[in-house]
Amino acid sequence: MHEDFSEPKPRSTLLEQYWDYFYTDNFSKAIEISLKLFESAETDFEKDEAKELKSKILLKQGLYLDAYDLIKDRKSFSPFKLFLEFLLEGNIRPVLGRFKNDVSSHVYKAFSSMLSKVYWGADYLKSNEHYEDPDMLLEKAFDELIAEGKIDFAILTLAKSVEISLQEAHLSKDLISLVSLEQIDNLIKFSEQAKYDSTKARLFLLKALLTKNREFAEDAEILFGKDKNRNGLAEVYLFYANEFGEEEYFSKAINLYNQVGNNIALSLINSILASQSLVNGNLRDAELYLARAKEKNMQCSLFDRLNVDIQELSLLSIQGRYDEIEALALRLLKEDIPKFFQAQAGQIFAGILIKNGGDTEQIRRIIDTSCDYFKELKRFHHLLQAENIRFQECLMEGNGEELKAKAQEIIKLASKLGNIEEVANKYVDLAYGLININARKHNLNEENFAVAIDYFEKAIGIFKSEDNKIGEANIYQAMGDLFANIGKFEDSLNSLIKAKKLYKSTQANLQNAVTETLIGILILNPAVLNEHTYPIAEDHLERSYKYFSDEKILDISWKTLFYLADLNLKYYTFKNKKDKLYLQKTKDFFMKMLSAIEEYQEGSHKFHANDIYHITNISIEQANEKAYDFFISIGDKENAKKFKNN
Amino acid sequence: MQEQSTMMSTVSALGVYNSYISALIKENEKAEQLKDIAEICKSNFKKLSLVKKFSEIDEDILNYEIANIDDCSANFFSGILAFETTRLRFKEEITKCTKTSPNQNLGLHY
Repeated sequence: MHEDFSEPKPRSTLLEQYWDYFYTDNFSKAIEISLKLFESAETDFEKDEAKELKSKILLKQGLYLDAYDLIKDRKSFSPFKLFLEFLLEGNIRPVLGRFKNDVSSHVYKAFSSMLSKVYWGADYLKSNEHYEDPDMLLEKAFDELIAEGKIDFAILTLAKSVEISLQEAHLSKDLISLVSLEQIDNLIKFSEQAKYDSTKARLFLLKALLTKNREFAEDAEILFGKDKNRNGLAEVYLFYANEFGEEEYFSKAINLYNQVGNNIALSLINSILASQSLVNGNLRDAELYLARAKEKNMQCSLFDRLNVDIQELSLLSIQGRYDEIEALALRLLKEDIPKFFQAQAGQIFAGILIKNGGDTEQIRRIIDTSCDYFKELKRFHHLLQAENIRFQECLMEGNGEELKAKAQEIIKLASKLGNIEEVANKYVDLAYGLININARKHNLNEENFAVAIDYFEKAIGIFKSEDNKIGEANIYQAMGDLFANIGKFEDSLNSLIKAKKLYKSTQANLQNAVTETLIGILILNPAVLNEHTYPIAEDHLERSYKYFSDEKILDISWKTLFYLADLNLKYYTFKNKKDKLYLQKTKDFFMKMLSAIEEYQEGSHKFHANDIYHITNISIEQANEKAYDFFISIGDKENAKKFKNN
Repeated sequence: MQEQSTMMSTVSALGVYNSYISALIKENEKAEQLKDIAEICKSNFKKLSLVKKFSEIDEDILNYEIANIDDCSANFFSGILAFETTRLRFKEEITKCTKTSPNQNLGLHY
């Protein structure tokens, strides 16, 4: 890789240098050489080839649009250009018939159809009369590349195919990983004949990903280091951070990716960080990371862009920004969007519509389509989540028998997938659902509760054995709600406190704040409220309000203010209306609630929000009415009016 | 009617399954003679391709099973049983000739 600028080099030497830089991910040097090749080109074809070499580096950097712009006017045949078209549009139909019978066509056609299958499903390929087996194409390409002496390319082609097939969600994953691992070991042996250590390093990294073994990644780190491959090293660091929770490696990876200019990887890291923030309930951080992920993947493939859209939809639904959810979901529920993303958008949107008491037929249509698509795509873990939305739909309809049947169906699927925790979740949902339905029918009795508690205990046993603290906490939270509804306030408080401790220990901040609100609401009950419990309730509600307000979770935010007002009003009465401090606090919280409702309605006027948590179920109308009555009772007509106009 | 179509699907899936097993056995026999590492990689790639196809059949059957589990007849159960036995045979063939140990905990998001 040593360079000598003293005299012009022949094209063959430049080409050799280019491939050295290409395989070792030295993007800037490779682009430099491609420009020299362009300058020294004598024919249009040579110029086209030089441009394509630069374009290939731009693709590696995640600049797909720039890569395509550079070669879009190319007249001579280019399978790489077709592949770029496919990645940008996400649709194999326009490019399928344009591939030929050369080695590059075999490789790019195979990758296009493999990715199509992952995102559109096998039926989509058949409907486009594409029956060619991508594996056969890759086999041919492998033979041809070996014959041409392109060992590194041949090895990386088969390795990439393993990588793509692992993204598909097969039920027989144990067998697939077994043979994949054997394949990688064979490729590692074969890589003794490869020219670059980076090729070998990629195989070790793939082996590390497959086995979740850090030692193989360390081998990759050494090999990438020998090639001074900063991009490869960043990949290893990302592996350490992502798979082993060694968070300090995120910044190391970001630093190296910034140095080499790898937008696609930077987008991926921000996307991972956004997911982590979503899980931890740090919604402002999630928003920030998502914005960065979006900015970095503006030029990437349609699939990359849609992945971030789905993440955004999740974030919006947690924030309760309903108008934006509807707009984005409807944009994603279109025929020209790959089925995998339509199905995910439908699942989230249907969940939101259920929460907001949307149209039953529309909900059923959307969620049925999502389930059909997940089945067709063989995405069984996603299917499980979508079936859970169907379960919510059954709950909304209030048919206990249907609910039980649906729960059993989900339990069967979860067991097949070996997802024991989902089995436990379903016990909880079923217990909670049956109680809910019976409560609506005014049919609550000791027998119903005993059944529910039995389901809860089964589920707690499973979660404890799996060391799933969040699952366990969810049950205690549900039990707290259940006990509160039958007037067992002490049991309810104990359950909620258990839930809170578990959420806090796992940094599940959103759920922790919800539980704090529930504790506050529980203390509002006249049987519980006194001078000892008032400060506890106030403390919990104020802390959770601060969290909801900071994280812009607008629908729960105004409700928490309502409960703070209500708490102070009740305590004022408890103190025989003598301490004006609590009267003033009531006024202040109601006025704050008024602004919070306005802010909430700005983004969600179309829906009447019903909270998923039974005991926080209060409507805007009810909250306004209570505030109105309060101000009238203290003779403040002017402020009272504000709640009538709202 | 639905049961009949389920039976048909199970029978035809079993046929395809058996053809995969035959192909796998042949590939394994051939692979034992191979010395050249490139050829070994190619043979293994074929095996991987067979496993993927096998896995898809597996998933299709799962769908039928879920849809019909509550009202299926003894015939259907015997179909499923034959299917399970064949699947086990396939798994044995794979594990017999694979040198690495299985790893079940995959979660690649790369």
